[in-house]
Amino acid sequence: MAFGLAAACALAFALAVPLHHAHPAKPWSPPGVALLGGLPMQQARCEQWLAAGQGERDRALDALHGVVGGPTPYGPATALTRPEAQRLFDRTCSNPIARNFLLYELYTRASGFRSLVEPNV
Amino acid sequence: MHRWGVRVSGTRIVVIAVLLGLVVPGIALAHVERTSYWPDPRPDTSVKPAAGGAVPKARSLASALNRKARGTTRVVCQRGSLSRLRHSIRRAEKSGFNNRPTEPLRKLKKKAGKRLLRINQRLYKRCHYHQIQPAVSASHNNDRVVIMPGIYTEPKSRAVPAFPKQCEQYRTESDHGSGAVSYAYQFHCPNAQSLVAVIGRALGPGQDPPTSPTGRPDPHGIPNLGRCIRCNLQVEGSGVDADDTVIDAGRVESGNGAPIGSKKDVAFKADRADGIVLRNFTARHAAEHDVYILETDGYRMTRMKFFYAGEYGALMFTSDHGLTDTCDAAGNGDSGVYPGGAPDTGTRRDTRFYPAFRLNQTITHCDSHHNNLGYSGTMGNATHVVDNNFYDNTTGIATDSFFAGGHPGYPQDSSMFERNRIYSNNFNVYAPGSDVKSAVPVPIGVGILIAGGDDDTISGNYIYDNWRRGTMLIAVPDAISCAPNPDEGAPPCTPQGAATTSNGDRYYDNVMSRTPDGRKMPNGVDFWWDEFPTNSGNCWFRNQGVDGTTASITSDPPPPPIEGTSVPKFLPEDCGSPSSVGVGDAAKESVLVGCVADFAQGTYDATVCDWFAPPPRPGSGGSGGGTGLPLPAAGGTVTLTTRLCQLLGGEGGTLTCTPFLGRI
Repeated sequence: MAFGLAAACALAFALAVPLHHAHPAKPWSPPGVALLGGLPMQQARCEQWLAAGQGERDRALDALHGVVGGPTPYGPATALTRPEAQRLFDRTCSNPIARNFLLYELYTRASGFRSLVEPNV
Repeated sequence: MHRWGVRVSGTRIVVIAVLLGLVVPGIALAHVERTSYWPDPRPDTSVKPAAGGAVPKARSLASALNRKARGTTRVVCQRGSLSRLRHSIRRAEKSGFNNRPTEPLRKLKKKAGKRLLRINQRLYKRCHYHQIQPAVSASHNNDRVVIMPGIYTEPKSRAVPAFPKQCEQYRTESDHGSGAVSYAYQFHCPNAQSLVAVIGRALGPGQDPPTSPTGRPDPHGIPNLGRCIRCNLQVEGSGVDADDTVIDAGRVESGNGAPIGSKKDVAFKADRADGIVLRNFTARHAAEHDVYILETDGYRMTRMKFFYAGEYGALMFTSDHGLTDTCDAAGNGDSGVYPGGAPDTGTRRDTRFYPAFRLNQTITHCDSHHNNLGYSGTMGNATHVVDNNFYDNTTGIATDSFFAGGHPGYPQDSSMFERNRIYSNNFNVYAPGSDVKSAVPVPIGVGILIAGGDDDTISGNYIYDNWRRGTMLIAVPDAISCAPNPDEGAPPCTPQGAATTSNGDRYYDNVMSRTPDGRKMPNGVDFWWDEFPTNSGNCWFRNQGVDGTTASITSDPPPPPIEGTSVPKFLPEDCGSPSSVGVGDAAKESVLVGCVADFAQGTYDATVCDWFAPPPRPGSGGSGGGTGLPLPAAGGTVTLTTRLCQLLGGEGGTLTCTPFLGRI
């Protein structure tokens, strides 16, 4: 029991510590799997976006491109370019009410409008 | 400045009103999962009784003591299980108990209490497990796991890291890109993601078919399916009610509330577990889903509670022959219940695989309340949602075709929502200090939102006190799943038409703006339809409004001048009339255009799109606003593209495009 609790606490700590705080030992992350604040894309939210460094963000954006741009009956679903997605999350996540919005949900929604946004905005 | 001419951070968003469907925010879009398939709906006769092909029957608790009954029973208990049960029995005898908040309290009879205690005393003597997962792992086809009263945190499962190194070999390429977790991963590492996992089938003998973000196999039938190893499993709590046995994936001290403090993604997962029965326990505080049933043919969940998951209380994905009966779902960041990617057994079915029309999953006698969404289902096809209560959510029900890769069954169709009570869905999940953390933006104050659904039925419901709208019907143009891919060399895609979703939906025999006991509690407006150009076959008839008459229905567009007819620019009432066709509405689109701006640019600006601010109580004359979202920056303009106008017949050629193009 005590061991379990200790392990759970250790895991929680590893997941919770924002990267801009100190420099704790980086938890092992699987190759080819983008994590944001230690969380996979299924769980990553604005909170993790705000706490992440740029390198981590870039990996997340690339992963989301693959996640959201899946097949449709008519071809691959649309997806955002890295700068577009960066702007999307920067804007959305700056709003306090969006702190817990899932990034992939935001990304997918915005992807639907991708073709409607002039390329250089 | 005109209300819908809005500047958004100095950018110019190119929007056309026909994209109003794209605005739909109340949609639990998807979840990230391996490439998933619909199970073969025929029973698997390799086990006896056959697994799948129907909703499984539950076995009585007392029969778990019968050593001659089929299957082996494994009992899980804690040191305090019997004392917890005695306390619960006393409470139930004295004060009563219920399975969900709207159910009247009923007292447990002394005789029944004594019998339940005796059963548990005998079960306790057979208890050999103190955690659930070992009992599940030891189980085989037709076995049972009885969980005696207690709060189960599953320390051994919690100790399993989220990303075990030894499991990485089982990641796979999926239609969601690389890195998806395969069935083999779940088979070998069931507790990497889940606190308790039922892995129902062995690995198949062959290779899974290739899949990628640019293509996936036909979803009909699970390829490379292994044999049943834990089919027809029954897992149940042995207490008076679901409160007695709790599986907690997070912060125990929070009880059935927040903060959730999740330690695992999923509290209880059933993966390819055909014929599974879950009964009489609570699951709570998972980072993602409290209960997750995946690629399963035949499941029954009864007397269950799903509290405060980060995303879904109960997620049933690509599963068939399901019944969720008597449940309580509250505090979930996405939705209380979510039958997504459901088998296409409705009007759009492949008759070779699904010969007859069939509603494939039923949700009934559930209270889903104080969630972001009470119910949602992207591609929630042919579900039967009957006799439930959806209240105090931000939006009560949403079903949609908002495409996300990996959800088979586009577009959503053929669901039946009947005899539900859908009321008071005005929960401001965005308010500071909200105990529910919204995972996805949804509009405040909507009863039922259909976004891109075909042939859905909304019948016999009481829908009242939803301050924005009782119901909303919005089209999702196919273009959403076929927007140009920014990647060079991406395969071309061809929209199949501008309005192949949101046709043939029927709203009838509903009582609007009145409670079941006849009190007046108006919706902001009873029925709202976007009048999407060329949408056809939608109709609203024989509904009663606030004073009990059809004439008192409030709607946008308004009811027709002559009852029972369909006239353009009025709410169609004659389903078969060729005049039951949308012709567009610039005024509505003006608001929705602003919402597009919000979503496209991430501004969430309350004066551009007011869906995220609490609406005023109907008749109060209030302005709403409350503490939803901040006020916007300075205004500007929204401009419109010609590309989607052309989908509708060319610039200037439609009622929808013309007024907007003039404002570019």
